[in-house]
Formats: sequence, structure tokens, C-alpha cells
Amino acid sequence: MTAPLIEARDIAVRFGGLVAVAGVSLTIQPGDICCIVGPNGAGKSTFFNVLTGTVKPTSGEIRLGGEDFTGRPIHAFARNGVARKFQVPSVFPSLSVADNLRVAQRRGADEMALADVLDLLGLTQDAERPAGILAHGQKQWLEIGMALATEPKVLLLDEPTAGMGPEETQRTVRLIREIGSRSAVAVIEHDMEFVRALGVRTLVLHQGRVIAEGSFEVVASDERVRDVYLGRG
Amino acid sequence: MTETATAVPLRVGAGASRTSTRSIISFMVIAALFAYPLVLSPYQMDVARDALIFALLALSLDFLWGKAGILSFGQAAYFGIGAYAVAIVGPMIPNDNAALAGMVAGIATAVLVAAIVGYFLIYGGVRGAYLTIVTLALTLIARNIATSWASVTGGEAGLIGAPPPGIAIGDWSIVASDSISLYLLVAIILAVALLAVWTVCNGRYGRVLIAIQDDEAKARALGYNTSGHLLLVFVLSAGLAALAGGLYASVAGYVAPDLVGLLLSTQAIVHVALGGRGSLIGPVVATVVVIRLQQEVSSYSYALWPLMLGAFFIAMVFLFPNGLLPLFTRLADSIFGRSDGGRT
Amino acid sequence: MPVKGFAVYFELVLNIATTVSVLMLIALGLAIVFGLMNILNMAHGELVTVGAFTVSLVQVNGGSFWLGVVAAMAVGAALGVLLERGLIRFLYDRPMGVILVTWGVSLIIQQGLLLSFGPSPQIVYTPVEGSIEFFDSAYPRYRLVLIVAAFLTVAVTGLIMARTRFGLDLRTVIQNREVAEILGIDTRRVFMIAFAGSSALAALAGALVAPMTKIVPTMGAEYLAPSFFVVIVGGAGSLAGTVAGSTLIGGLRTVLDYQVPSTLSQALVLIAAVLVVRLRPRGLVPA
Repeated sequence: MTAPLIEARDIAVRFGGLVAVAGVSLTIQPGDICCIVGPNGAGKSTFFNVLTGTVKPTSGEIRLGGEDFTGRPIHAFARNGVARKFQVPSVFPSLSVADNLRVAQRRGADEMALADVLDLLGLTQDAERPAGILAHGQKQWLEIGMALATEPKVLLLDEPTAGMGPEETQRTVRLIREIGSRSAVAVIEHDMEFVRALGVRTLVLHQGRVIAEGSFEVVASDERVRDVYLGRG
Repeated sequence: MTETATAVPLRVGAGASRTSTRSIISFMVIAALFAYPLVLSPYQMDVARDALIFALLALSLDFLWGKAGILSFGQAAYFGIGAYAVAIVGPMIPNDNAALAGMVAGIATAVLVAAIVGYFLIYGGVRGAYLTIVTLALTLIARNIATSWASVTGGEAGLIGAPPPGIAIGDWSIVASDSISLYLLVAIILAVALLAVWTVCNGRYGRVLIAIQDDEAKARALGYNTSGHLLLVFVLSAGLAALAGGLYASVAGYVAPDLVGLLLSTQAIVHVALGGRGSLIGPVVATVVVIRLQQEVSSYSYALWPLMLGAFFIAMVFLFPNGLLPLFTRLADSIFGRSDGGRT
Repeated sequence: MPVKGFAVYFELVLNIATTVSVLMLIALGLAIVFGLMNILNMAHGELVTVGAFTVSLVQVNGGSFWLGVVAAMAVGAALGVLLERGLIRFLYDRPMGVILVTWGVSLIIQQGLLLSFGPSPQIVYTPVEGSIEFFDSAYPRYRLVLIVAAFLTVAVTGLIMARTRFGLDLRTVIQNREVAEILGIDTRRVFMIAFAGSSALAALAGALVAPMTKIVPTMGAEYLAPSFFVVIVGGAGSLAGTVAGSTLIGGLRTVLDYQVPSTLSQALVLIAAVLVVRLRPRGLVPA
């Protein structure tokens, strides 16, 4: 039995007096796809930032492949196979789409893998256009592709469908499933339609705590989840 | 995976037309640099030679400002360090390696200064305007040292007796002293430096630098040590500026505090901005053109030049923020019939 | 430290106070503009120069020194409005453009003054003659006037920022421009007034140092780097930061000048500033 890719134990984060995350644990094994949901302010983004090394937990421990990474810098996480996609699409606008992906290929240029990712994203036609002029949804995909080009062990996506229409959202679901065959994926979302469509192991956060965990069906039928979240919409 | 075959040629095809237009222009410019002195008098050749040295200074700034996004008023400080090192260290060396030793000392000093200042600031997260101000202070201090540490720098009068460029190996030695060989030496060094910076910036490394300029946080999240990259360019650019300074002292035979002035940094900025920031070849061409113009204006009225320089700055920002090179590139593209129709 | 007794220390303290006062006046406007609009005005030093030249002109034409000071502030404010309306307002989203444009303006002002007045220094007569005896040493009276005037100016600026409607608007815009606009603050008006005020302060500084310095077209450039150091060391947009930064930079500079050659002291001040920036990237007292 190999060590899990990411193992977060009893993560708590406090900003001054504000408790953003109060004891959340999560284990991601190779091949996992999981979803972290919760209303705004539930502590999703903060927990996510802990997983990528952006925020140091106040207490708790984070291990990558069994090794303690608590408090290590962001690029140490990146170099150990943790890739993330920001909520706001952040691509390099002056570089072409293909060059964006090449910059992300830190292990060295690999034109085969590049063409493969372009095809997966549906951006082959736009490979030589500057990324700055892409449509909003295309930028989101490109950024997912950049995370993928780092050949990560775990891909963490923060609201990948933010600002997308229903059609683009469906495409993103297919994209994430496709990516799931190459690396483990964890997605933060608050759009329940997306979570339903994805249909994977789901973790529900509320006020910094996990209130339900399991398959989408299990979670969706949970009383407390209905109260705090589904009830509102 | 099977789509590879169609995807790759597409990319190569589109990339190549842009690259080859640039290459042709670059090659023509470099060739013109070499041909230019053959039709000139020795005096004009010396003027052209000095212009090429200042083009090297502009290149050092374009590497830093155009490729790494750091606007520096400090290039004159490094230029001065390089120049004074040749004038101070050179005469201590008895053989024909004197200028070479001075240049090595100057480049090492400039690199050290840039490394220390840059390490503290760049790794401290200082960017943009703050960094620019510190480089401004570097030049002011260098200037003050040049004028007031008279026992070493000769003060306002400067120093004469900087050794000419040469190499000695055992009993064999060669020294460049006539106008043609000095000119050719400078032109070759400039061409090599230009090709070196151009090659570096057109490869993978150049892409990383553009990425850092676009969005440093994102580049860091992809695992790049962005501070390290910026510091490297900061230091290399300082070394390049010091090389230009050392060459100047060596071919001119003297140094004076004017070589460390803010005006010199200012001119380098004008040359880069006018030639097109980040284009490398543009600033080199702009330097030669502007210095020629400067000669004309100065012969008419010496006081007019700084006024024109000031007006240049304002006009530049408002009228052609990308420099003049894009206009010429478009012209060249239309002459060579390379319409860029597909790309926007 | 020199150990010649009390008088020497006293003189040192007064010298520090003089340097700090001048630096504070010049950096104050710079700090407000930098904190507010995130732009660097490279022509700030030339506004100091213009202030000194204005006093000299007023005196030559029979006016008093203090009339000259008022005139200098008016000229500074007018130039500030001209600069902001004519050039800078088009460049608020291009900070690099502002650096280049204001640098161009500074070259033009320098050379323009050189062409109109020539390279020889202008003369300004001090309005307060004589000196004060402290223990065994004499100290020029005017310097005390300068120190008092500088601290008064800073106090008044502080009051304006703390107590007036405009000051409140100004602080809101410095904190968060978007929020300020949502609150209905006319940020463009705030920018213009702040820029004019900043320029007037620089000109005032120039007018006040005029009796004790060499008035030449390049005099302002000398102040540019030190006052930028004050801003980055102290913290942009912060009054307390400007005072703290001026005290650190000015104090260090004056003390070091007693011990080592002035070039070395400049280099040491640069090193100190670099270290402070490394340790406190947002300044000693951030806004």
C-alpha cells in the first residue's frame, strides 16, 4: 500500500479571531476524483489554499506522498506534483496558447504531449493565437490544460466553471472526467448542477467543518446538507 | 495522440514567418553595421564606434527592461564601473592584457553590486517603481563617487591613460589602435552580444521571462523560481553594461564623470523606448540613429539637445508607446510580401 | 561621536533637524501622490527648483522673502494642476508611462531654467539675519525658522488629512479606490487637488531652503533620490511614515556625514534603505 498523494489531517486555519477552517481531514489516493462543496464562506477556498501550500495551516498536518509538507513554500508543492487552477482564469496573455502550455511543461518541452493537451482542450485551432484574446471559457480550459501540462499527480481546480454557460459547463465536466484518467483531481464548486453532473465523492463544508461526505446521492439526501445548502437553492 | 501530425505543422508554419522576417532584418542590420565604416573618414568612424558602444548599453537595458520588465536608471552606474575599472586597473598591468584585466575587474564589480542590491530587493518582493528608484540612486551615488573620490577617480577631470584593447599570450600580443580595427572590434562584440541575448530570449528561457512579466504569481505557482530568474537578468544586464563601459574607456583612452551621469541612463532609456522595448535589435538601431541626430542638433545648439530629449520622452509615451520598430517591421513585412492575414 | 562637549551635540541635533525638515517637506507630497495614485513623479525635484527660483525672482523685483514663499507655493500648485490635467491624468493606468513623461518634464524644466537664467547661482537673501548663541556655538537663526516652518507645514497637512472632508476623501481613495468611487467620491478631483498640493509643498520646500543653498537649475535632482528613499522606507501615502522615513534617512545621513566622506555616507544610506525595504516591504508605517 503506497502512501496517499495528499493527506491532510485535522487542518485548522485562523485569521486573527476568524476561524476559516476548523479541523478538516481529506485523503486523496491515485485515481481519485473528488469534489469539495459548500456555500460561500464555508472555508472551501482556504482549505484549498492549504492543500496547494498557499496558506499555512494554524494547526494540523499536510503530507504529500507520506512526506510532511506543512509550511513548505508553494513551488515545493508544485514540484511535488500538486498543480492548481485559480478561480479567476490566469493565463499569460502575451504568450500564445501553445507557449502557455510550453511554459507549464517544466520537465522539458514535449510537443507530443502538447498536441495531445491542445486536442483535449479543443484549442488546437487557436494554438498560435495570444491567450489574451481567448473567450472566458477557453481561458478557463487553457488554465486547466496548463495545470495538466505540469504532469501533476493531483490537480486541484478552484471553481472551474465560474462564469460559464450551461454548455461550457457540460464540456468542462467531460474534460475533468477525461483528466481523471491521468491524475487525481479535486474540485471546489458551489454550483450543485455541476457537482451532480460530475457525480463523484463529495465533501460538504459548512462553517469550516465537514458536515457530510460520500457519493453525491448520499450527500444530497443528508438532512443537514439540505438545511444549510440545498434548501437555499 | 493521432492529432499530433496536424497540430505540429500548423504551429511551425505560423511561427516561422514571424521569426524569419525578424531574422532577415536582424541580419541586414548586422551586415550594415560592418559595412558602414568603409565609407567614412577616421573621425566619423570613431563617432560610429562610440555609437555602437552606446548601442551595447541600450541592449543591456533592453534585456532588463524589455525582457524582464524592470525599468532601470542604473545602467550608467554599471557603465561607469566598467569604464573606471579599465582606467584604474588597466595601467597597473604591465603587458597588453591591461584593458582586458580592467574589463574583467569592472564586470565583476558591476555584477557583484547588482547581485547584492538585486538579491535583497528582488527576493524581498520589491518590484516596479520601487526597484526603479533604487537603480536611480545607484547612478546618483556612482556619479558622486566619480566626482568626489578624486584621489582614485581623478574627480571632475577624470582619468587619462586607459589602455587600448589588446591580448597578450606569452610573447605574442596584439593591440587594436587604429580606427578601423577598433571599430571592427566594437562591432563584433556588439554583434556577438546581440546574438547571444537574442538566442537566449528566443528559446524556452524567453518564454519564461514573458510569463513572469505577464503574471508573476502564476509563474510561481507553476513551480518557477521567478525571483531567481529576475535576479539573473538583473545581474547579466549589469555585466553587459559594464562591458560597454570598459570598451568605451579602452577605445577612447580616458574616462570622465559624464560617463556615470543620469543623462547617460536617460539616453539609454530613450534608445530602448524608441527602438521598441523588448525587440533587442530596435534599440541598437535607434541608438545609432539618435546619436547621429544628436550630433546634428548639438552642432546647431548644444543646449537644445536636453530639451529635445525631454520632449522625446513625452512624445514617446503618448504617440508611439511601442517604439518605432513595429512601424518598420510592418513596412518590411509588406515589402517581403509576408502578410500576417491569419494571425490577429 | 565627536566628544567636544554639549555644544557639538546640540549643533548635531539642529543639523539633523534641518536635514530632516527639508526632506520631510519634499517627501510629503511625493508620499501622498505615490500612495494615492501609485505613480512616481520624477519632476518632483524640479518643482523644488522652481520654488527656489520663484523666491529669487520675487526678491529681485523688490518683494519680500515671505511674499516669495507664497508666490512659490502658488506657482508650484499651478504647475501641478497643469501637469496633472495636461499629461498625467491620461496615464493613470500606465505607471511606467508616468515615470517617462515626468522624467521628460524634469529635463525640460531643468534645461529651460538653464537657458533662461544661465548656469550661475541665483541669490536669495535670508529674511532672518544673525545667529543664536547656544552654549559656545552660534547657530544661524534662519535654520530655526526653517525647522519650525517645516514642522508647522507637516502639522497643517496632517490636520487637513485628519479633519477635513477632503482629507477623509483622500484617505479613502488611498485605502481603496474602487470603494471610494462606489461611495461617490470624485476620484479625479481628489487626484488633481492632491497633485497640486503635492507640487505646492515641493515648491514651498524649495523656497524655504533657498537662502541656505546654491540655487541652480539642477538643485532639485539632488533631492529626488533621498526623498524617494523616504517614501519607500516610510511607507507610501502615510504621513507618519514620511516623518519616520525622513528622520531615519535624514538623521542617518547627517550623522554619517560627520564620520565618513559624503559619498560613503550616501552609499551607506542606500544600503540602510535597501535593508529596510527588504525587512518591511510596505514601509515603516504603511498607510
